[in-house]
Amino acid sequence: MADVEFKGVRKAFGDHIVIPGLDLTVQDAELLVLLGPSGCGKSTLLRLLAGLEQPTDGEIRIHGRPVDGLGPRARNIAMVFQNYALYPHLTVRGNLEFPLRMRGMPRAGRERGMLEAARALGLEPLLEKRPAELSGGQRQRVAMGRAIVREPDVFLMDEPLSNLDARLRVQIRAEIGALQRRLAVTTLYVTHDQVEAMTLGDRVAVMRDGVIQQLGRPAELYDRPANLFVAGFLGNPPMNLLEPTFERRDGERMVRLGGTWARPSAGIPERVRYVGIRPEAFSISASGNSGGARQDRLEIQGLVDSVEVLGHERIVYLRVPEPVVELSDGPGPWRSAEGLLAARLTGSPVRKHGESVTLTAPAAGMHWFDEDGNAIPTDVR
Amino acid sequence: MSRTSALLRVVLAYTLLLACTLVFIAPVLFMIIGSLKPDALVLAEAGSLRAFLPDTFSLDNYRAVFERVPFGAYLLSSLIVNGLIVGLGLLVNAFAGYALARLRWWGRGAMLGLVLAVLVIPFEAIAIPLFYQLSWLGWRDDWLVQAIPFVANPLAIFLFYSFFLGLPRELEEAARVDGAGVLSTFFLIVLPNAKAAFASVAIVLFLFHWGMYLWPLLMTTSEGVRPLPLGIANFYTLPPLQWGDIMAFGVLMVLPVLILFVVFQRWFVRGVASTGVKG
Repeated sequence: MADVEFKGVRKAFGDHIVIPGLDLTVQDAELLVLLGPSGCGKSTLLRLLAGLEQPTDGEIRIHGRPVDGLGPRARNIAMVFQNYALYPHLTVRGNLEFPLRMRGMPRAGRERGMLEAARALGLEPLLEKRPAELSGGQRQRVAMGRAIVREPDVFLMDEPLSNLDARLRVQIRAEIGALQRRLAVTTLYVTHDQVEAMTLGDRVAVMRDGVIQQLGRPAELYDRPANLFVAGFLGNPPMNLLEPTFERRDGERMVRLGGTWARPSAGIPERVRYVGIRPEAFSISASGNSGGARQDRLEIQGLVDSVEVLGHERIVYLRVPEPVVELSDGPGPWRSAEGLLAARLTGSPVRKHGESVTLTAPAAGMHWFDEDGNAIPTDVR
Repeated sequence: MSRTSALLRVVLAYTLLLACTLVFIAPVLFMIIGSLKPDALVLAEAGSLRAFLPDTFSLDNYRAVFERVPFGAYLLSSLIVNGLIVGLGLLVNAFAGYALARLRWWGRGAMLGLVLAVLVIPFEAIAIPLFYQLSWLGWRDDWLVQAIPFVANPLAIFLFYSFFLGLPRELEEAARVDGAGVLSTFFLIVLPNAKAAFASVAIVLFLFHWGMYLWPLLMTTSEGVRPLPLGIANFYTLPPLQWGDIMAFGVLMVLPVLILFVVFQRWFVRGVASTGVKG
């Protein structure tokens, strides 16, 4: 069942268009993550749904009911803010009770609701403390408690973990996921952190300049990015992007990738403008064995530039003689950068700086993109 | 060597500070000590150090204050008028400051400019037109007419405005999402977090108007509604001229201000610091 619908929603602040026109449907009890770089309009979308901003154009529906013109209080939504926005002059008890007080709930009901939320989040020992006396994680929980206490139709979370340290972030992330599944409340979750998006989201909408680039399940987005932006935004290190050069030599079609000639052309059609390879698709071997590409795999030669040891795996950066493509923050979606490829490797011997090596990737590990950066389905192979 | 010079520097600095302090505190001390001296000695000793080192103390001057003029009535008038100015002023100016800082309405920028422009107009410049205006309305000689024209105060509006600008907006947005309207957001969330601004505005309003002289002089004729500054002026026209009595009256008049400041000093300092306005 559709629970939240955006239909042709447009938002401009004066001449500045933040969302040029957006359609999005969030299913009942779904956790949908809005993911994108800062300024991509994801928080604006949340604020539009909360009623803190009104759309310039278009319609928003909650439970099928249009909410245009309605203020936040008429929408029965709850929001967790990035900096928690706890009321500093109220105790934890006061903070949790506030939404119930605003609903005019009698004292006994308030007390019961407040205690229920406090119990669900382990806040009972903190009830008489003020926000200033709490740690970051505790504040975050109080903010969650204030959101769940009045059983809203929709949860909105605006980067709720960004003020926590890394360890706590992992822990609270799991708690938020568990809580959302238990309460089964439709949730819109805004973040710029791809790990949060991938781990929490039932579906993820990747946004850029107010436009949804791709909407789908996390694995779908990672395995089949719809365009260069999504390909480059998800994954760390991001997908390696190369510009192939095609040439005919002795009647045979050849392709050059990252400075290595391949023959035949590794099955790459000529309309492919960018070839993407995830760092983990590569395996590594000492140079000189073979070279180039075969129909079922691709080989690129280069020199080891640096190695990052991450414990169970290492990231090897390989310098190739041609520039590679990198996403840009500017108007164009991509730009050329120095010729560094990243390979995520496990179990292979440590490589040294300057060592000549060959990276090998299976043809199935390639992603193809056309001139506009849109993905070309690989089943045309 | 360096220790001696450091010590010397400290001694010099403190001597200078002490001298400055004495210059500023001398008139106050003169008033307090003068109020405790027999009237004849106040002026007689004024030129010598004895002005600050009396050998006899008496409370006769204080008794005289209560016997010669209706001090209680003046004090009551002052308290009522200032209570009205501060009480209503806090509400009105806080509303105005909040509307300018947070609400979106047509003409907000122009209104803010107007408030700032009005800041530089001295009251004396509009006292006479205002006097005519209110006299034409037939409104004179009561407590309200001394208070109402001063309830809305551009400085107070500006203090509130800049304080509210500094409050995190998310607090109010959270309150709105939690179901609060504009008024309940203001009273339940903004106001409790703006105590410092309220305290400093209260003190500013009180200090500005406690010593107000011209306006009550223009607007009042009955002793029953006249405030303390008109009371002290009464002494100058009440023979014989008793300087000791005037000193005692002065002390009694300053006392409420001092008490208020000492009680709210913590808030006042914080308020001034957070609004970025220097006194």
